[in-house]
Amino acid sequence: MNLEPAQLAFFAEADELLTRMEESLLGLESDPDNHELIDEIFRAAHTIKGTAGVFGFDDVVHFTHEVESLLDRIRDGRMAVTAAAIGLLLRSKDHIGALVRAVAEKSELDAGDVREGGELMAALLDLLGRKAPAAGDSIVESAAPELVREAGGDDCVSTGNWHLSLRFGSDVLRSGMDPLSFLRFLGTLGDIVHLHAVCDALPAWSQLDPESCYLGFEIDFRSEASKSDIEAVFEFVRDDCVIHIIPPYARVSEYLDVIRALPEDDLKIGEILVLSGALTRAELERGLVRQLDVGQPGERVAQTQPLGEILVEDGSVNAGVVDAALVKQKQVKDAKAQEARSLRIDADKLDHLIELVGELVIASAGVQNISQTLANIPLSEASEVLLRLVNDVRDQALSLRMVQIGATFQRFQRVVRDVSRELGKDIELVINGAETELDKTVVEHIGDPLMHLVRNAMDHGIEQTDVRLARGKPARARLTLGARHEAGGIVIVVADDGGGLNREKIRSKAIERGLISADAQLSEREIDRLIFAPGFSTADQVSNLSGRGVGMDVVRRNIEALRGTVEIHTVPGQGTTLGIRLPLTLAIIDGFLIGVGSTTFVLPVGVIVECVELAGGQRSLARARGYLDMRGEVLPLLWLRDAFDMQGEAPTRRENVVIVKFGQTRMGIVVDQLMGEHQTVIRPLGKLFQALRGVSGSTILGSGEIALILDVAGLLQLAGRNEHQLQAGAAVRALAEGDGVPTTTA
Amino acid sequence: MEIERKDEDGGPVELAVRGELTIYGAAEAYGVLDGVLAEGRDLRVNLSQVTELDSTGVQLLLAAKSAVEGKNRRFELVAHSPAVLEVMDLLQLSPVFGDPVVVPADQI
Repeated sequence: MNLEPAQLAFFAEADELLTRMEESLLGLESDPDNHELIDEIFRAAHTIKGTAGVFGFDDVVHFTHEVESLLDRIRDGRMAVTAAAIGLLLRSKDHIGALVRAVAEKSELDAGDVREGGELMAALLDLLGRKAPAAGDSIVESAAPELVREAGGDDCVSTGNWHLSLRFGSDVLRSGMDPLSFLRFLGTLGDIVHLHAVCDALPAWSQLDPESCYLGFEIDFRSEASKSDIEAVFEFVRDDCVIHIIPPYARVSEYLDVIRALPEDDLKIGEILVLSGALTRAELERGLVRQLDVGQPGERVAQTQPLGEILVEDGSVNAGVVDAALVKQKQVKDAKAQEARSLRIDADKLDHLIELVGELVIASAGVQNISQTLANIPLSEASEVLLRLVNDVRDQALSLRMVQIGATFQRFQRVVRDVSRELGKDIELVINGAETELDKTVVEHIGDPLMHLVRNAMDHGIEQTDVRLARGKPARARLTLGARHEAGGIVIVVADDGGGLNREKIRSKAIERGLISADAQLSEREIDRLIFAPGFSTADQVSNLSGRGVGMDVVRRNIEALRGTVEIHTVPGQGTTLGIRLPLTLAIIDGFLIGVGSTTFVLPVGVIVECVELAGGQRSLARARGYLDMRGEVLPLLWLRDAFDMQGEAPTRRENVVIVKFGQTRMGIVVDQLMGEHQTVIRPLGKLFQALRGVSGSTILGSGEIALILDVAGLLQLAGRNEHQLQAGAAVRALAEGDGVPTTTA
Repeated sequence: MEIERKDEDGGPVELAVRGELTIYGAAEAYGVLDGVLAEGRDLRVNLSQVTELDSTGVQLLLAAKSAVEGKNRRFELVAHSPAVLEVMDLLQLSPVFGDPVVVPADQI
């Protein structure tokens, strides 16, 4: 029996809630009157507190409770949304994160976090007008709301108390949750006036499964807490359990309004009826009891007569009212289903699936090959259908890993806010294309490079406010994070409207660092690219953020490790734009097979613009000039045979040119044959070949042969650098023509 | 969790539960109880050494009680430990079990 999954789910959920809380807090800063945001923040804190309470994570509950109290005041309008309050809440949110992490990793908080926690607690209590509690105060005391006790309150069950009807699902215990913990936690919200344990579902001894839960409880509960507060206690078992929370009689009219205002609340039919005034609590209970009697014990939850029918039969309400309530309930359910139709999956399982799909793609290419060789029409047809389905499966499987980049971008709201304060600059973050999707692996790895670029832009790119004003720019600087799809890849842009790169300074710094010689003639582009050289930094002062001389070269390396490139475009006085170009996915691409001699290569289809024949007089002219006249435009050519220094002669009749586009650059790759499209499962090259330019990976063809995947960005560079030819050529020969290369699936 | 069995001549079988009566030991406790129930004798469960009781434990005791009483035999719980009392109190189960409960003076 494993108790971990429920806790793991809590850690994951807490993470999401904290992220949402941060987003809302940042949103609140610019829109302090937005009640939805305040509610969102409150709900996040509240859910974390409630669930942490169920698991007994007291430190989290204790701290979050005070945060929640502060939020409660803000929600009620008793406290203004000030920058100071938001700052405190943001820090508190970080601290909750630290507390949850400590529990998750079963580690102690480090000294810094403990100090931070103490300071925050003091600040929170100060704002709440309370003094810090003496050591030893228990959570129960701090979490219990002030109860207004009514005289003779004990016997006014029908008026003053909530009624909770709980039936726990049979798997609750096995998921590591004990109904007792929920009751204990409920006890912190108010007084359990009366509790009746319902044991009717307990089977005969011989049928008893000691690890299943058969318990139910009817509870009269006195509390000032709101219904959602009480409901949140059971947040983690809500799906498996039947929970009815019936408000005190006095609150019904209040809830009539509330139910209309909160249509997303997950209400049971009985509650809707009770709340709408069509049904009294007593009638509802009678109906519920009858419903329980009718159903067989044990399958009670699964098969029961609908409560609405029972109530109509009883004459408690008329059918029209039930219908109206059902319509309302259905609307609510539909909305819920829309929201929550997602599934948490272990990333490893997904990776395994993608791997298998990769194998499937290779295998189906093999079938395709054989069916073409056999020229059997029914077989060809069947294999075409198979291929189409495999294509769809591949796309679907890959799309499972696609995530929107927005979440990554959103994190920078906080970074920009904090850093701009630290630097004393007024910077606004603008996000474009947040819905652009790319592979989760890529998203995970792009965070660090982006962080460097964003900090760099804020630190070095954007000028101090007085300088900006002197240059006639708006005081508020603008930093843009954007993403868009382009030619089979994604382009992520980090742009600022700052001073642009100071080329003179870069040049002199590069000379000083010995990166270039003093008399080197460099184009503007080449100068700009110097910032990506190892050990280069232009900051006059080493600041907290950047300027330590690590960064841009690391950024470049990280991006190149993702098979991406980074480009820089700067206009002095107007700003700098960095464009990161990344492949959409790291696993499978649509490839185009090309052949040189007996060797096959793969080009990603996304980069190919068109293919043309190179024959006759045009061929010798192109050979002599090194470029092709393409409808009046100059198209530089790269002979793949020469680039990789491959043996053998070009075919006598004709060659083919594959025109590829990468970014703004076009180039023609001259090859012997074009062999058509092929789904390509990318396999990384071994360590030995990692420094290889122009080749990004390998793949296995349907025939079992290995083909190298060409890296267009690398080829473009290769075309300009002859010294690499020998090295790359030797490696390619070793890989593609050597005797020791396995020709079956590795 | 350990369960120690004591047989009194002519009297009930007494089972003394030591440690946590929780889901971790539920299957084991069920096995022990199952063996004893098959004998069809009066059963007394001594709870003095129970350090923790959860819903699983409560269910087991409730089910055992109805199984024993279904055979017209006596079932009693004795010497409730503080951990047991806390749960009995929370779930207001004392009337359900109907056993006399001794509450230490300092806890009243």
